[in-house]
Amino acid sequence: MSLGFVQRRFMSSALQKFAYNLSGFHKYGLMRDDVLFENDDVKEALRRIPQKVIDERNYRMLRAMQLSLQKEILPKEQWTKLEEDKLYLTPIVEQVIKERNEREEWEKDH
Amino acid sequence: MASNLSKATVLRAVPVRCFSSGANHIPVSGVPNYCAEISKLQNGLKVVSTENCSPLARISILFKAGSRFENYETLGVTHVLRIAAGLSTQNATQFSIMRHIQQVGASLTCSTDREVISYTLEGTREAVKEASPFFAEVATKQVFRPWEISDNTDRLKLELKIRPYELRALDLLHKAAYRDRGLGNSLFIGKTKIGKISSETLQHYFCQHFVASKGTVAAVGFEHNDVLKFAEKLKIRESCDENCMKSTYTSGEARLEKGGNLTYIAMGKEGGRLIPSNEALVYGILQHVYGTKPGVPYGAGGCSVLARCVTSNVPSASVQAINANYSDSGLFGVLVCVPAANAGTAVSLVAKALSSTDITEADVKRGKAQLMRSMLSSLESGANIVENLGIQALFSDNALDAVGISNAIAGISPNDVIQAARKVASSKLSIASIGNLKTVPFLDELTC
Repeated sequence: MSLGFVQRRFMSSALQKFAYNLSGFHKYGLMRDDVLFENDDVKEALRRIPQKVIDERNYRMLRAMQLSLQKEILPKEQWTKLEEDKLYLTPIVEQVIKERNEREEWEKDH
Repeated sequence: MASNLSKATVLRAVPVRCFSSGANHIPVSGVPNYCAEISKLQNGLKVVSTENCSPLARISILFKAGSRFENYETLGVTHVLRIAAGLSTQNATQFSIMRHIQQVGASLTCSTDREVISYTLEGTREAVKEASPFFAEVATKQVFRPWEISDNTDRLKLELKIRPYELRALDLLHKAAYRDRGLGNSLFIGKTKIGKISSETLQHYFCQHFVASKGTVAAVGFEHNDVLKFAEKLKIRESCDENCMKSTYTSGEARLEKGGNLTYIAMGKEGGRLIPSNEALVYGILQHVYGTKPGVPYGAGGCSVLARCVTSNVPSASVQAINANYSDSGLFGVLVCVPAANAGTAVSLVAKALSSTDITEADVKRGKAQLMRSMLSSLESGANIVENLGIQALFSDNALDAVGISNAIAGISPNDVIQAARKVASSKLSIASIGNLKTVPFLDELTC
């Protein structure tokens, strides 16, 4: 929550865009949620999203790997823009983490 | 806020005290002449409750949403709903529901039949109080998460596999008698529908049928005011319309060849409706006149009509009368289990017995006594009391206690039962059979 708060309050949208463009993955046509580290929470979240979204994600990842092998990047007009980068997985990962925390809290007390 | 809290504790103290001071005098199963109070909330939800001083309390939420309300697209939805009881809801996860209910030692069950889906919580008084918020969530605030539903499809498959043939014969009898519509719908999901019921379908069915005017809250072991408060807090949606497709009895037959040595045959004719309750009781007596389970161990040759007509000629057959009462129709018939070679004889004998009106007053007297016994012994358990009260309140505006029901049984005249037997005899026959069908005749081959 705090990071989001800082981002919203103190990071201008221009700065946010600058940081996003600096990260580089957008040049391969990836989105933020495509580069999440696949730990158990993310794996569980991936199980919960519709097949269509999974297919799109897999396509983007395949394309990025192919580009990386060929030491290329996409033409500039196909780069992901920050406005188009929808967080399709993060809310579900947060839900999974909440559920895990609930379980862990219960195990502590009982 | 503070005043409310103290009020609640005072209320809580009363029944607990009653119980502890009366523990030496009141039997564990409570008193039999509990008097049920029934009232209706503004949104149309009915509330029925009784205090029988038993240490166990039960609360149940029922909706008229059984399998008869399914249509062709949603066949099997009630089976999935039954499986989905206890999954995550709007405000509680599956994990927290399960753990909180288990931790206090309560038990939550969901059962469905052709008319009603009911959720029941039972436990000691304290446990039920503590677990009731989770119970309310399970029954009224469902969200059907697709991944949780798909995780549970194996349970559907298991339930389909472990259905006994007796049950399947009865299911087939409904299918034959009501022609695949309304009451003819199976209680179980079809094999081809497994995994095809989406969470949107479930949500739509839930919104359509889990509404206040089709619901009842029943409780045993609570003050009526407490139950009213609980029911008001449920905030169940008011409904727009109550369009229930009427089911009409039509004769038919269904056969399922499964091989093996045994044949299970369910034969039925049109029986009595659930309401007025007198009609259901008359057919209940008639059921005992025809004969149910033997009252003495291994006492197959009894004095029932079926024993006279069928078992005396085919001793290897196990026969038992069945009586199912629904809000607008009913089935009365016989369930037969017999070695395949004798099935044909048994079926024609049962068909003959079902169209005979050869019933004496002594038969009726025995039937009455047997029904009284089985009714009272089933109402000894609070679990059956809460179910019974709920169903009575759901379909009519009064709810009889055990004493009231036994008085009603005593008040039925032999003539009523003989009239009912005549009505059954004149009705058309339906027949459903499963197992080895080598000798089972088709419906039009039966001569009677």
